[in-house]
Amino acid sequence: MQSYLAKRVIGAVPLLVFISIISFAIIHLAPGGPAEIYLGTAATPQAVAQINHSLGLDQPIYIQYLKWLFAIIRGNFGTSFANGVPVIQDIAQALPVTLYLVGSAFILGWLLGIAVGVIEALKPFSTLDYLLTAVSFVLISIPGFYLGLLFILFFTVYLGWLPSLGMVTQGVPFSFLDLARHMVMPVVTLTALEFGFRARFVRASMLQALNEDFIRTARAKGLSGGIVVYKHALRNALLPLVTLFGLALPGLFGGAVLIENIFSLPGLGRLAVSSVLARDYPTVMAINTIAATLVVLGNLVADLMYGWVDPRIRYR
Amino acid sequence: MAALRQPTPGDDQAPQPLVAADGGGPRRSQFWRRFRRDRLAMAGVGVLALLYLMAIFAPVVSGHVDPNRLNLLIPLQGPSPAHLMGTDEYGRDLWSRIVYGGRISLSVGLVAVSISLTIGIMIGSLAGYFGGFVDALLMRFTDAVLSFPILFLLITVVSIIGPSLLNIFAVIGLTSWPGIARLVRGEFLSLRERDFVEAARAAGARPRRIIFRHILPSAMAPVIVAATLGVAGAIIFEAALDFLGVGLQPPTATWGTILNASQGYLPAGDWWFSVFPGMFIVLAVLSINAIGDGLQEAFNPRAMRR
Repeated sequence: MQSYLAKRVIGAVPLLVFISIISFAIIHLAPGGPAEIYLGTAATPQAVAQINHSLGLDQPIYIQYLKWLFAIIRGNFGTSFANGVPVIQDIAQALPVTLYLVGSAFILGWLLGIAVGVIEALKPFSTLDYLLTAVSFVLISIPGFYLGLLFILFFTVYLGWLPSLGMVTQGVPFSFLDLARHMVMPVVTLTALEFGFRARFVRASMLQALNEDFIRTARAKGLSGGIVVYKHALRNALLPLVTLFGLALPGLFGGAVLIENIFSLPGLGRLAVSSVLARDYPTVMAINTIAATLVVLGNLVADLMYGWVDPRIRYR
Repeated sequence: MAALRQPTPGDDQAPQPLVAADGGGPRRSQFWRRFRRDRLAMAGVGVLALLYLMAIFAPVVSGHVDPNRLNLLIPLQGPSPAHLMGTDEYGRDLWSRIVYGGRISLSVGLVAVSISLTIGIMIGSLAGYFGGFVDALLMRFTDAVLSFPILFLLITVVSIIGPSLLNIFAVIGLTSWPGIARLVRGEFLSLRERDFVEAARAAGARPRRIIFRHILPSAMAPVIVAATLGVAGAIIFEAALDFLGVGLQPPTATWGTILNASQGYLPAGDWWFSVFPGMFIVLAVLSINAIGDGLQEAFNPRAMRR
């Protein structure tokens, strides 16, 4: 187990290096650097060259990459081109917002999805099943940003119940209620999308599990319905779901980018869009690296969880 | 959003070959019979056909109204007989912009998926057929792409190489193939041991012929389902990029750019500006997803779903 863990963590390193090389190459080889963006119409070749020299952008790309890599190893993400503060400072402010958003949507979406999927599978083809299936089918077909706009239209514009911008009301002392009122719509929007996928998956997977021979055996030997459903069927139905744990993360982060931009939340996604537009290379690289690391970590956790739900699996 | 990445239970079941090993038609006609009986899927086909017709005959459908004709006298008007879906902030006719926008939004899906299908089938079949080192190398690469938060990557790439239509086709296609590659590889792993492949090999067929003429046709069923869902995913991706303002730029009309422009007018209650373009994205995605579901069920009737 421990050696498996060590092996996987070591195995993740080349993957992350590979991802960072690709990101670095894409970002740096493209035309139009930060100097052109800052100088705007005042961009003379001399001024551009001077800025590029001061930022170290006139060095060969592999030297720039190696410098970046060794700085990262020492935990140094560099200084933002856009505002001159250490990148880590901007990230430290933005990351919790995104983690909070993604985390709540993830937990709520999966719990609801599992519950609804099981309810559907227990009485398949009933009215309730059709209704819930229809809801999740529509939810997976609505883009998150459109759902967010519809929520704003309904709850902010028509009903006036919820604020649609930012995390807290400006100029008002912080209160948890205020934060919660701001976060309801973003979290519900992201949850709704995740829920749709999970419910559909759990329903199909649960139907399959309930149809297995060992369920018939368990029923035949007189076990109560509850034990059969929750101990025998559910456990087997959730097995394939665990593999999706890691795969769901990139999608959730993508959803967070959109939702942060709709609701003006100061998270990683908003930072990503603004720093890409400003060609703020260090910030873009830091965000891509952190997001990739989180996804790789998520995959690792998924693999470990797999062994926990399915004791037949042995780690080697 | 991550339509390509959502494997469903039943993916791992042996698929029924699209073409029976004896080259026969009965399976195929059975498949179509099952598919035609699926009312939801047929409704999807109908709606999608209407949307594509709308895009193809955009000039006629829009009543020959130029989607970019400004009329600053009538900005932000609600729906009326003159402007069925109202007007935008420059007084442009929204119905016309949505109809013309469909041309871009709907073609992105097809082009991007053609690209991702080509790459995914290439990589998946090579990895699955040859196995060993080739497999390990290609699948590592696939996993790397798969573990990338795609939207971050898309934003980075598109805003740096420039948001032209061609670039957006390419970027979405080049990032959405891993799901297909893994699917194809899985099919190849199980199919390459079958007798009919062995027979072809014994008859002296080369790998290239075995891959394309013998194994691939039998592996296509789940790939077609994934590709269908991928069209929906690509449409959403493109709209998302436009919506964020890093995709196609105004005044180009796409469902995403219209939504992007509408965002600022939402607080004032100008609902038609946001609701109508988004509705068309949902219609397109809903019908494609319905078709995908129907295909899956028709290919694999044992995985009882509805």
